[in-house]
Amino acid sequence: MDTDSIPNENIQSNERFDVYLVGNKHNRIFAVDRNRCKGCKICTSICPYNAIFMGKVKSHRGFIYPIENGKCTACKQCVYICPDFALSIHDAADITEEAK
Amino acid sequence: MSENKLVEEPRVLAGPQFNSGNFAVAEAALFAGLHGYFGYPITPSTTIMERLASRLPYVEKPGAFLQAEDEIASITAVIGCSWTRNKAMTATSGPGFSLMQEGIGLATFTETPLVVVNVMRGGPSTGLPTFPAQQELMQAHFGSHGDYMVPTFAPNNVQECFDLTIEAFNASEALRTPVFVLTDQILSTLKERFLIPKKENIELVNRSSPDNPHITWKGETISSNLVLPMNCFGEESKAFATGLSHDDTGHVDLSADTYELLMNRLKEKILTYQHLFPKPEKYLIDDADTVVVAYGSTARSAKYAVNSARKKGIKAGLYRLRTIWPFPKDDIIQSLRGKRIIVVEMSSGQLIWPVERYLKQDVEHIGYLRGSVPPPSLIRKKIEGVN
Amino acid sequence: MVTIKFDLLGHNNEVDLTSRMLPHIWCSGCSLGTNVQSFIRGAISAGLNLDREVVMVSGIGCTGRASGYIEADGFHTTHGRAIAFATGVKLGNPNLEVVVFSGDGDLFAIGGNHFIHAARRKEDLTVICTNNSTYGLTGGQASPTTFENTYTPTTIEKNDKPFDLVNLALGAGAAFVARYTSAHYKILPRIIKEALQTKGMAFIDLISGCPAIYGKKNGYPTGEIMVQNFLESSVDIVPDDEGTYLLPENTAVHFDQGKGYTKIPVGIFRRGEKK
Ligand SMILES: Cc1ncc(C[n+]2csc(CCOP(=O)(O)OP(=O)(O)O)c2C)c(N)n1
Ligand code: SF4
Ligand code: SF4
Ligand code: SF4
Ligand SMILES: [Mg+2]
Repeated sequence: MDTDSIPNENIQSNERFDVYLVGNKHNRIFAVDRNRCKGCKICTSICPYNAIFMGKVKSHRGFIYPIENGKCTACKQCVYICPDFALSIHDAADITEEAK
Repeated sequence: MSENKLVEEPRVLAGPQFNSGNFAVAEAALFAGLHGYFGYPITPSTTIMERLASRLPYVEKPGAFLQAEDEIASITAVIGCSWTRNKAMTATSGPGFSLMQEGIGLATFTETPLVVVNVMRGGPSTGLPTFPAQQELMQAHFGSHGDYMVPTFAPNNVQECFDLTIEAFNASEALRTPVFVLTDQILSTLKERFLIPKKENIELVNRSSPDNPHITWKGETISSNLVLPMNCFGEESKAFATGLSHDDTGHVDLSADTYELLMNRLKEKILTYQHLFPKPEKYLIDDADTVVVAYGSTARSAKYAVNSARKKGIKAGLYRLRTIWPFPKDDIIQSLRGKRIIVVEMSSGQLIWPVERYLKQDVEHIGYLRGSVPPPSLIRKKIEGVN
Repeated sequence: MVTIKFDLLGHNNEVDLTSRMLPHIWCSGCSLGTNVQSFIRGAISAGLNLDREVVMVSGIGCTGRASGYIEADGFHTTHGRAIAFATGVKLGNPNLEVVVFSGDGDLFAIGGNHFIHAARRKEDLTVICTNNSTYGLTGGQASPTTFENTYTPTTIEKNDKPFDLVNLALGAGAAFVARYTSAHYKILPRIIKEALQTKGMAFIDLISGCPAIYGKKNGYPTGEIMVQNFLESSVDIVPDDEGTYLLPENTAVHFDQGKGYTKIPVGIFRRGEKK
């Protein structure tokens, strides 16, 4: 099986976002906005690290959307090219808090 | 610039003047605080543009002057300039007014304060470039596509060219709307004495802002529900506008409710404050059996005819419109219904439409198409019933 | 285990986007969203505060809607009049950075006269043309940059020769002239920064795609293929002292029906004085 197409297990989702913890120390976040993605596949075709692939399930808006496989280096190329402003990269520290 | 012979000293003129209607329009604009003039030469409006070319960039608070590539660019640049919280205008004549219709629609829908002076000449098409006419009364109301209303003022002497231009700027700023001044070829060149009043004697209105939402005009507070405070470019609050249907933030909203609300508010804001617009001149109408209805240069001839008829013992009067749109329908019904009415205009029939429509009675008509004002004798004979 | 604060999430340039208008109206794979992002990053790298210093002016078309998605002051004018409007803004308040962000049909068909005159008069504007060689919004009809022998609903047998926008801008007197494609999102912010900082009119021919209509009929049926097509057919210009890179045969964009773009000369064709 193609290892590129195995989803990253470090994922948390809500009704709008899929959020993946990425990077060696899980200190970065790769987020997919399912409310905005229109399934064009441009991100998966340009990712230099083959870190994302298109899923099979459709979003509530009827589009397939990218899924991260744990290889994302947070290089942001996909963020810059995504025509729907659907992808983003963040420092985990800015977006998370340790569960108490 | 002081070496340039065309440039006068950088003062807004004051006191008594002897000059033309176009000159008075230009000086009134400077008096009102004009900051941007964008235009394209066309007879008989051009001398307004030329006067401002030699004045606007050189007055104490210099403004921007541009001879644009056409009238479409001119009106659109006026809109752009207005959105920088500056007073802006253009002047044109028939063919140019036609090209400006697109921008006029945009200005009404985006609630942009600006003034357009249309110095009327004979149409259609290139028509009679150097002769007067009054054939853009309907175009002033219905020229652009869609429903809208632009306050439209019509002077009939040089003093009024000055005064009504100031009124036009005030109305445009107070109500966030384009305003038209309709003059004609005769007024453009006709020289008369007129007075530029002292600054302190004239009210000048500046549009509302988020910081100052409740402006007043002629002692009346303009409702900020009808006239939304205007955010302009480069200021703290975001300013955005579109020619598409939009909500109160200016952003696109094509929903039925939003569109209907917007259209109704745009109409309401003009109608609510129409009593602040220039009032008609009613000359000897109280006891009159026959009243001539006219505006602009034509009304000068009509007044002469009314006076001659009176000398012959005929009870004639003149009702002269200073505000054409919105049409002063209540006043005209109250003042004129039941009297014999003669509409006189330099058009085969435009002013007669609203007069007939609101009076709901037979109306006689002189539609003069000979490139000059109808002679007083012609109007007098009509008053006398001699055809 | 960490807890994600979802309400803090958003695009990396979310503050410069008009979030409540999103998702936008553009089709899947359309270049426009990428171009908006490149512009925002360019304006930021030029040190501009989009919220206070920039006015985004656009005309009518798919591209015309861009001004409504960027959180700057802006105006969505009538078809073709963006440059005329922008001219009035700049003369009204020269401190503002006035940007025209519009389409090939808007800027070069109905608005062509405004473009050449604003370039000639050296109006201090930055004009970015999303040049997708078609009227996207109205359904893929021919535009002044539609290629010969390609299919559109209004050019049944043949198209006339398209404008080469780079040459047009050079001839009209633009101070800065560049061409890149929407797939050049890496270098574009730098180019846009230079355009914004140039005195006089700066023009960028931003070759873009309409995969939904024109591309589908003529050679790049999806956004993915379009991006590939742009990257493979772009050729960096090599400026020389003789100026051969400016000759029309060297600036023109080539396109083959069925294949898509075959040659896109990209680079900065003219640099102007800095503000
Ligand atoms: C005066 C006028 N004529 C025609 C139209 C219809 N129209 C809307 S967009 C458009 C073409 C837009 O083409 P372009 O500028 O290339 O934008 P794109 O949709 O390709 O981004 C036309 C003809 C209009 N809105 N106004
Ligand atoms: S580029 Fe953006 S819109 Fe296209 S598939 Fe990827 S996330 Fe979705
Ligand atoms: S950030 Fe870079 S590595 Fe990660 S998915 Fe996007 S393009 Fe791939
Ligand atoms: S029609 Fe073409 S240009 Fe318009 S949004 Fe769709 S893909 Fe883009
Ligand atoms: Mg286009």
